[in-house]
Amino acid sequence: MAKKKVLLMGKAHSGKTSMRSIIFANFLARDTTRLSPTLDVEHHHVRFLGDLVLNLWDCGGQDAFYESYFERDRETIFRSVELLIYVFDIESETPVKDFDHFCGVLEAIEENSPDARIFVLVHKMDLVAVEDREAILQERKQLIEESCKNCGVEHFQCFGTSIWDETLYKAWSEIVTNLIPNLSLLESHLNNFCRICDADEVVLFERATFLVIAHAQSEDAASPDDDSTDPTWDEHKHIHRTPHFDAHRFEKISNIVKQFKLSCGKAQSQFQGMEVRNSRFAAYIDAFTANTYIMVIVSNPMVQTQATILNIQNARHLFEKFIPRI
Amino acid sequence: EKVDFDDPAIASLPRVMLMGPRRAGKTSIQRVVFQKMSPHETLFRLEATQGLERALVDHTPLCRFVVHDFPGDYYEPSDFEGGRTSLIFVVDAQDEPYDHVLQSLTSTVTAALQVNPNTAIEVFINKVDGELFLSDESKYDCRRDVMTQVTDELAEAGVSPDSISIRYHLTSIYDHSIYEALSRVVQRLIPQLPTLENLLNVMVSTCSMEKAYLFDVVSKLYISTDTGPADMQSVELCSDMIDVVLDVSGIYGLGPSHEAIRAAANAAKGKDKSESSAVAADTLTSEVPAGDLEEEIVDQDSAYDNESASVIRLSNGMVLYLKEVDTMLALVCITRSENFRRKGLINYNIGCLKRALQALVQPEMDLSSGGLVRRVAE
Ligand SMILES: Nc1nc2c(ncn2[C@@H]2O[C@H](COP(=O)(O)OP(=O)(O)OP(=O)(O)O)[C@@H](O)[C@H]2O)c(=O)[nH]1
Ligand SMILES: Nc1nc2c(ncn2[C@@H]2O[C@H](COP(=O)(O)OP(=O)(O)O)[C@@H](O)[C@H]2O)c(=O)[nH]1
Ligand SMILES: [Mg+2]
Repeated sequence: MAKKKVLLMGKAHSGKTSMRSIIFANFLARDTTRLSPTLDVEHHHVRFLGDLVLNLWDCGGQDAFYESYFERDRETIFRSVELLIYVFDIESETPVKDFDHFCGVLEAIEENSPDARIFVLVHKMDLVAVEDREAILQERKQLIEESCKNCGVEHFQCFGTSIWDETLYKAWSEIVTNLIPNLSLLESHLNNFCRICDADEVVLFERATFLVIAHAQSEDAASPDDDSTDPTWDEHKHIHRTPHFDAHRFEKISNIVKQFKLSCGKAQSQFQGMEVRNSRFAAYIDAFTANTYIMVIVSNPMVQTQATILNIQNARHLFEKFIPRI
Repeated sequence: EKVDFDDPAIASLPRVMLMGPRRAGKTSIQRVVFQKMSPHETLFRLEATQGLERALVDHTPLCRFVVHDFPGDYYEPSDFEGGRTSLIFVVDAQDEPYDHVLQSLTSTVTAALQVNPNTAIEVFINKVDGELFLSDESKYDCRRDVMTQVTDELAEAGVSPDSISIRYHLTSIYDHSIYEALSRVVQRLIPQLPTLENLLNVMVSTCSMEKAYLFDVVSKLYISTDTGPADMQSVELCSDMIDVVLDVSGIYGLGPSHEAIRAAANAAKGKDKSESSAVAADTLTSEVPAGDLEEEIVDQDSAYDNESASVIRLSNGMVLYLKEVDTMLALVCITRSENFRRKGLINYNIGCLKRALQALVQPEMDLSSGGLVRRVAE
């Protein structure tokens, strides 16, 4: 069993606890208005893929706490950190101070955990009008990049997020998959499975959080303009396929299914699996290995429902050994 | 896009009138249920309504009506003249005391009934959410207070409270209660309701189902259900299932014509008019036959089509089964998994139900399909 220390930092009221509660504790977005401010540091152990334990340090963001983070508790806080997640509130009234704190945190991390991976979330993006979001996010990213450069940080990833839409799942999927080793083996098996099922794509979700951990896509769906022909690939069978899938589809599905799982919980039951179809596709979402759910998308009308269901069933125990052990 | 509300075909549709004090949540209710605004958006996207705003609800042939959203504290009895009408009086449960509001409620109700005795009176006790209403008891207390005060007011005004039928609903735009309440309001406006209930009763008993609902998939209101006992949680689950089906289909089930339209729309935004319309015509005609195209453009949610269906299996041995039965209308049933094995029978019966529904909308069609549904049982 592996424990990884994850620091969650940012100004008070920026939404750290909200995000953590939605992703790891099955909160609904609307329930987060009831959260009380985080005092000092709250430690949470959350399990991921069964064996991976994230040791989340949710650090209360009031100014007084920062003094102790930077001075007295500096080493305790910033030592042996695997991941730093820093949250900016897009509506912050004190952006300058936020950046001061950010730089302070970066310096302390560089000093104590130089190998930590760094993620910056620009949060509460829903409060920005849709048409301005991209521009404002870019502007903010620029500032963040400058700060990082000034502190000698080269590698970091930045996301715009909101608890009210799927952007939350996008960011956290990226964050978490960073902690899973050997994903490429899993992905190559998933690719095989996708081909055998004659599926358009196959996606694996972590069971508790429904974050995406891996996916595979049929070759023609992945590169619609690619002329090179694969000899094993029977072309005319696949003419009907939709080439351009929504780029945000995985996190959207995470969000959709997670919401539904919570609804089932309210009705004193648990969601086991589902099938959704119309004239153009069929989607199968099912409990897969002990720690995952799988989604298989099939648009070829020649593929029988029962065949897909059987394929999923038979792949279960095989895949159990490809899910990375940490 | 502009709807002509004076068109006799539209003017004669049933009406839902949203009235009540300022900021009680009338516009929010309308936006959340009929225009898919997310509840928290109403916090900062809505301004006080200045004049009457009307919206046509016309997704599925059996369920068509016009919503009238009035400005706050605006009560004009002559508005109730005409056909089938529901008055929804919205009260803000978080804005005590209600004395003043309930006075206008009773005077509006009595005036409305004088003008149009068939007006259905519905009181939405809205905003029963947040710190004040964490427990169910607090909601029931609030409803009891409102009911007693209204009865007192009516008695004071010399109206016998028993002579007026008022339904009270506890609602919040943040949860399913608003859908439940509006479903009940809308069902009252559908003349064919008894027939629908009957059809669903037959369906449920022939296929040994627990429960069946007909949902308008766009608004997520259920326009009818069988007469067996219902529980709020299962309705809510069915309604959430519709979200899942529409959302997943919207991601993976949009056809090439849709893509072409999207591409053309993008092109139209970027390029000048003449060029972009040429692009649109080009891509579109090469992709789909003209007939289909028209339907695709009219029908915004075309990810929901005549083959839309979904099965969800739950750990308690129940299965939720959704199937398209008419334009934007879905049958959602709850059944035990052992009874779901006879899927052929279920699908056959749904086919019969589908024909019966079409006959209801177009009465000139053969109406014997009600009998067909039964025949399978034998
Ligand atoms: N907590 C809570 N707030 C609500 C609910 N419904 C509406 N609101 C809030 O109430 C405020 C007023 O909503 P509106 O829909 O503009 O009210 P209105 O009745 O149309 O107001 P007028 O047009 O001025 O008559 C908004 O900030 C909504 O977010 C609810 O069910 N719960
Ligand atoms: N509009 C909006 N509000 C958010 C979002 N995330 C969190 N909030 C709200 O921000 C407030 C503070 O969140 P909290 O998680 O306690 O912040 P923390 O102090 O950083 O842990 C709560 O009322 C949340 O409901 C978001 O994405 N959008
Ligand atoms: Mg209004």
